[in-house]
Amino acid sequence: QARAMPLLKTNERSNTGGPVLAADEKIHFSCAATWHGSDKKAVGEGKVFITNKAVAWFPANTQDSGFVLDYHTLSMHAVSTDKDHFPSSCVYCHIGFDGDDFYLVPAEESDVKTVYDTICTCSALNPDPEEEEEANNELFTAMMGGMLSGGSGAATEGKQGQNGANGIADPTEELSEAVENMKVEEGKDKES
Amino acid sequence: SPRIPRGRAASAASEMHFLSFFKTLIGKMIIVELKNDLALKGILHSVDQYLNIKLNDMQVVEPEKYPHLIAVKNCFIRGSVVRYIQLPAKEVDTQLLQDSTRRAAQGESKR
Repeated sequence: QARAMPLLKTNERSNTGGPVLAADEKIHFSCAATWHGSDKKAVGEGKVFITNKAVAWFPANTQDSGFVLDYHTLSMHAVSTDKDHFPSSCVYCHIGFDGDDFYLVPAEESDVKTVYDTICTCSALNPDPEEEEEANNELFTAMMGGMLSGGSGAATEGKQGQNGANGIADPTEELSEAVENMKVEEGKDKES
Repeated sequence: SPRIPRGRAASAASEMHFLSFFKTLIGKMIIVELKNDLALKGILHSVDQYLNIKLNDMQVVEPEKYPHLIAVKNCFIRGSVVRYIQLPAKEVDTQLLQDSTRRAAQGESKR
């Protein structure tokens, strides 16, 4: 199911006023917040619910619909401090498909960082499906290979003079060691 | 030019390989271009196993096109929406990177 979906407008709420949760879904953080659209105008007061599957917001007015957005579409989010347009700092969210965006303005400014951090954590719980990752990695490797072997004069500030005139000889001991060091660093440093 | 790894094992190896590489860029300025053309410049704060990226001191590359992003400082970008990452040439040892990429590719294709 993990295909990205656009922002879902819904008024399906749980008994407690939040999003209807899937079996393996739970709310990581929730707080009072106003939703503002791309135009920065407030849609209304309500509550934001950040679950391990989606970011949801429901207005205080139970007659009105709220929004649910899954992480596959939430391309980028950030803390914004645009005091000209907003009462306080807030969390900006950028939707992948068509560049739509919205703002979540917590009622308590102290919640802004928590909202931002929780979305970071939960987004990382939802990596995209592996078929897409594989294709991306293949493309990435091909691009890197193409760019690096095709480019001239780019690699001049690193380890000059160790590999002879054309710079592309059999791996030297130092290069091998450097590669091994990169792997060791990766193993040691689990968190980003 | 390096052979292209295939299959899940190769994919995992590639991911770790590039994760190691990106970690060497922490603290450096990079430009991340998303698949929907939005390009963001900033200091690489952190990167995880999915190549999700956190940038500090972020500036949007085309502020006239995205004026609402001017007030944003720190952001989180999903790895899966990244199209390109522009690297500062002098911060990258391209000889080392090319060689390690080739080794990663060859290593996996032997499995």
